[in-house]
Amino acid sequence: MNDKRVVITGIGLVTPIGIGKDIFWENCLSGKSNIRRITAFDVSEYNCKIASTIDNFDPTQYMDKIIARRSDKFAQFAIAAASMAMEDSRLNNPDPKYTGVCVGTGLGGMVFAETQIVNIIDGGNTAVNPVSIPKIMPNSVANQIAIVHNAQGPNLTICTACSSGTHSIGQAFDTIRRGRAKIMIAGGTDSPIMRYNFLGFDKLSVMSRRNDNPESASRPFDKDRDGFVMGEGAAVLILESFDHALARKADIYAEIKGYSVTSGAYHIVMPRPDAIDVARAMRLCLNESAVTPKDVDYINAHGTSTIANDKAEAKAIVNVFKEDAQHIPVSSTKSMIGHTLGAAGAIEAAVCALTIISGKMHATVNLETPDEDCRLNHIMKKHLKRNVDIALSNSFGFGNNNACLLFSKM
Amino acid sequence: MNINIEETVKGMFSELLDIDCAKIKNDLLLIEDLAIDSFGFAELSFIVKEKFNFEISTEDTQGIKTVNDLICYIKNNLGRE
Repeated sequence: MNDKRVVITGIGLVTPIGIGKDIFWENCLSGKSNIRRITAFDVSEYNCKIASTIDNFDPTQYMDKIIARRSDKFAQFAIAAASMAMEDSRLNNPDPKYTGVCVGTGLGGMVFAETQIVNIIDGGNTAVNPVSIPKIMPNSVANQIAIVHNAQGPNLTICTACSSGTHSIGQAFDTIRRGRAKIMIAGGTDSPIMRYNFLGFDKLSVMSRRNDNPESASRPFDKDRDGFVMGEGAAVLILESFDHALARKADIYAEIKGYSVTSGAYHIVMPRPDAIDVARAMRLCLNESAVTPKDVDYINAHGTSTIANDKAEAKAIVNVFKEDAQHIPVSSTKSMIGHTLGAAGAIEAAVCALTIISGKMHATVNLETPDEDCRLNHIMKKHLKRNVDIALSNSFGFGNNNACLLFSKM
Repeated sequence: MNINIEETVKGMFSELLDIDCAKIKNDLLLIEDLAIDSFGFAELSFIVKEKFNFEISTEDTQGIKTVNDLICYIKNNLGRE
């Protein structure tokens, strides 16, 4: 195995609190939220009536109309983020054979699928759009990104629920380390705010019912949290072998030092109460990175704001970091943008890179009184300015898909 | 009505191919000039169905080589279904 170093040289973001890394980061540090009552469809009979949505996204600003028309919203988000990331990296016609793509998505093209199913019921068989399959298939996004950027190397799609984005970046990291690519366009995306999917989550009773005060609804680790808020968006990072980045004098955000994957093998939607699978994921990631718990300066938690997840994650952090768990700053990006499912891990990877480069850790907004079972060194109310050399990102998905990434300053 | 059909068809091509409507000339070949592949033709057929409420039958597609062929085909079949 050719154990190459891997660095981040580009970031593209499409999120409810900003399109583009600069506005996103500015809003992250100021604790902005865009959680609102859903207006796209009738939610009067739903328990949860709120979501974190992206306003004013025009796909044709980021791609030609043909690609926009042949792509569902989840793909458009990531295609846009990929183009931003490529521009940010200043890569100029990289070798196509050594340029790959890896994108995670929890759901794929469900928005368009829903419209087509309704069309069949209402209009019969001829009402199905011939673009249906290319729009719905989860791998369409990685394929379209490859077409746009002429990336002829590995092309992968990861589908591991809410950890898809983290797994995707991890797999891309491994792909470069194994020498299968020098550049990977890697990230995650989802567009889950549509009736069928939303109702499915609503019936699982995992989403917040703070409908009267949407911006306060996502409150990870707070004693009064009552579920997550669904979000949408995408993040794409440009991962590059250190040698390649060095040769072209690229600006580097951070290095990825480690990646770990475990499964709880426990339940299709519930986390293991003992959280040993999550703790093992963190330990494996630290070990692979040759980093001790004391070295970690910041933890970007999965922090969904559900009762079960936050409790399990806090338990696992204490299990791994022992007394250091009370000193290492922790925050959850989902407190502001909600849970963007397959995009979440990729957005949070971008957050870790931006944290390291800026020396600023965003707060967990709405966290007023930490749950007794979630005692950590939470960053509350205001962002924290402090040098960050090492940042750990946690992601856990339905089905006990656990993944961690560790980032370090160059 | 005929002028409207021609304009509508050219508008369809313009939308489908993301090119200026004025550049869609009647004698342009669908495959050779406009690079409409089989997937593009399926999209085109679907738009015809949406705009004119009838489908281009599979056997008829072979005879539609140019923009003008499609305009004539629609004129001849309008109101068929």
